[in-house]
Amino acid sequence: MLDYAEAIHRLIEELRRLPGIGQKSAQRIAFHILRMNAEDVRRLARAIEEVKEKIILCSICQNVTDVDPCRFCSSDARDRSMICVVEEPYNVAAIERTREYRGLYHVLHGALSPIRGIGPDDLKIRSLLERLRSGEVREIILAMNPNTEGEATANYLARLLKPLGVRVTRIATGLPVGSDLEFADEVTMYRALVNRREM
Amino acid sequence: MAIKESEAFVLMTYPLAEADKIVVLFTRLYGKIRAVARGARRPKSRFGACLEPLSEILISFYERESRELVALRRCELFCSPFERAATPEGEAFLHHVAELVDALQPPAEPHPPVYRLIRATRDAFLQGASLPALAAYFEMWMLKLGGFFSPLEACAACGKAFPPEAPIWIARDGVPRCARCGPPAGGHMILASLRRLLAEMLTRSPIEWSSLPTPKEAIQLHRLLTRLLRDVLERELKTELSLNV
Repeated sequence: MLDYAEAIHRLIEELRRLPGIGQKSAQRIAFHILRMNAEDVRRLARAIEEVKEKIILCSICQNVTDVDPCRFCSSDARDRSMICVVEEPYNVAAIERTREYRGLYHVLHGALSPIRGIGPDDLKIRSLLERLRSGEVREIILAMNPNTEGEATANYLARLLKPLGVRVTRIATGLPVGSDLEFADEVTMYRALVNRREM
Repeated sequence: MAIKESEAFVLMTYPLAEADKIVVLFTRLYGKIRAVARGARRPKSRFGACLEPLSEILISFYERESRELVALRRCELFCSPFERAATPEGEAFLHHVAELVDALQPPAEPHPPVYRLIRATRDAFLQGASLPALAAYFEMWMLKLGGFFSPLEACAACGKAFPPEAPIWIARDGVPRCARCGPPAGGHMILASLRRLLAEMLTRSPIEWSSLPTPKEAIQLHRLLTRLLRDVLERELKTELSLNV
């Protein structure tokens, strides 16, 4: 016998399938939805439906967008000689917040991870290589996360891209601004030293 | 709510909520545990580079009775294979080791020989040992420590000692048989040269042994042992193909 009415049980089961949501969180969200007024619930349901209906991948950079090509790829103000490669669409927002980078992007939609069954064919690598055919691109910035998966992916891409004659760079790793040397671990400190810069 | 402390190897991590991670650890004193590392995905996290695969760390954690996951309080990094793991091959190898430990070790059962095996394998990895050879060494010892690999000295069916140059068969449950008694259903053949290398594994450290097989022999052994592991686990390994390149 179910603990709750069929509809609540089904909602809890659906919510549980979302990343980071366990049984208790799913239950909490389900009962919150139950207490919301009908209009708010409809708006939430519409927003979920719309994101699936309207959002597509940009045919050039593979970023999520509602127009194709996306606003980065179609903008004349962007520097077309640089492509910054990131793992996920939300990484683009993190780089855009700096207001420093004016080039284009390419989203891989993941990183190499044998234990999660993610290999090169599961990433948007082929479309990145196709973008280099025009000869317009001079530099590729590899902005994967600074962890084992991100580094392995960056190394894999560097091996593919360097023979094509483009400059391949990796975003710097080291100490975060506002931290204290005293608390840095060996790997972070080592990387900060190796990647030191001339003053 | 007692605080516990142990050395541990990080096996894998999963993102949790906004900035947390679930960490699967193989601890020396408490066996395999799953822990929550709060804020571990933030740049200024106190966990820093501690939670990368096969990092050896000192952890302190506490557990609450009704919770399946323990809470990580503090991590101190002893040894990190991060720099060599930062290649597709290095990452694949560490993920393979982590997958085998996770698959073959039950939760909350300490196993000091497995802990020592991971440490010796990690050290050989850092010293630049051949990866297919090191993978084969680790796989054989994981099977042996799990009780899935019998000594390859005599036939389990007729009891006769194996002639030194004859190929033998090994059944899906790891029991060896001679050619006279016939191949067991779904069994695997082991050539004499590979049998000698398997015997050498029992007496040598991973770094010593990994220089013995030729690259071809190392890959043959890795393939044989992953087939045995598949039989034991009754499923495909996610990480085996990555090493075969």
